[in-house]
Amino acid sequence: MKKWILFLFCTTFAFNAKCQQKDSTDNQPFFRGFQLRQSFQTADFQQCPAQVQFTLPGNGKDSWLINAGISTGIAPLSSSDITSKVVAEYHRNTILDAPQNNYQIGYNMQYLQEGDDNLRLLLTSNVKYIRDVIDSTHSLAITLNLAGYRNGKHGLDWDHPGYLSDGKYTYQFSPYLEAQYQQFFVSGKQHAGSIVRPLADLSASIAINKPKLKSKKLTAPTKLIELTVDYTNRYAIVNTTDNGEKFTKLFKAGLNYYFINTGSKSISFGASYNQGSDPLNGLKDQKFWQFSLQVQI
Amino acid sequence: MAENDVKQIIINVSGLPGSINDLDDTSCLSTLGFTGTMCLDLAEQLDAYVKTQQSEASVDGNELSPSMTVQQVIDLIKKKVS
Repeated sequence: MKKWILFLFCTTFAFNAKCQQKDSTDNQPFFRGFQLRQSFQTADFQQCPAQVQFTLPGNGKDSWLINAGISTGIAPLSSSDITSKVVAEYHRNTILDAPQNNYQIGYNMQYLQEGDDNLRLLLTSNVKYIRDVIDSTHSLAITLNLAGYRNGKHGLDWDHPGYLSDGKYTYQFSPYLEAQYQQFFVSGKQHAGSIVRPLADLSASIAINKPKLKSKKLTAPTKLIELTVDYTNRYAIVNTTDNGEKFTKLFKAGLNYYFINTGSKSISFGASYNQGSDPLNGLKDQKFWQFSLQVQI
Repeated sequence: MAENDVKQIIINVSGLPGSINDLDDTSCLSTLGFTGTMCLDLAEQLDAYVKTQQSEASVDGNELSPSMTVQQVIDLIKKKVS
């Protein structure tokens, strides 16, 4: 545990030292901005709207679906190429065969390599405390996510919306590699142990946009229907816990219909097929269809 | 002129085809398709621009968000280069 405290201290100190290079005459608030998203785990997830759905029947059990995270920026730990945030996430789904109930709080950092039209490194890192209510586990997770970012006039854009056929279609292509370290603490009958998971993910989406308005005002095309696909492969190369985790995968395919989309805010209805697991977020191995209201503010 | 330079940088990062004359000052960055990562890219480009104006100020990634308007970005940069 002391090693982790030392690591967190050194990381925070290093970023703070880097950010001290900037002009310090501005009276900046310590926390800045607020975002609601599905998760802040990766740059890709940070573009997904939060999902909320619940039913409270007169008789019988309540049902919940929440996939949401909130964040606020930390001004003293940010610079022109780094953003730092405090994040809190809650993932709960009671309708599944194996329910999910997992909350997380921690620190998120994103770094974008300086550059031009070429492919640039986009690094997203998290240090967070995770409580899994279903498994009765407490853990500390450190994740390091390596993705690409490209905004070019020609060729494939990475982690940046690309527009095709004069704005009739919008696509997004976001592959990444990630390493996860999860340290479990003693909790009830659970023993301490750690897991190291390298993973690879490929996600892509394509949207049919609403017809362009005749207004001369420059805006991004407005999405009407969007198809998303996401496939993740992980392998626990080190596992000193007794949960037996080895190879895991998660496939998700979704269709979203946007009935309100102003650019800054959107409400969409989404249907998705999910097969596999996501151990860090407490999702057990299973397959299910999910229909939900998705909100982005 | 700072205003036009900032507008051109915003259009370049958005990847949208258009000129600065088409850009409405009241438009939110999100209506131009900006995501959090794109705001970080914009902060880098604007920081480089501010440096070319012999200013010692810098532009932080957290200072920009998709909910900001074009005018708010222009005002922020004007303040930094003045």
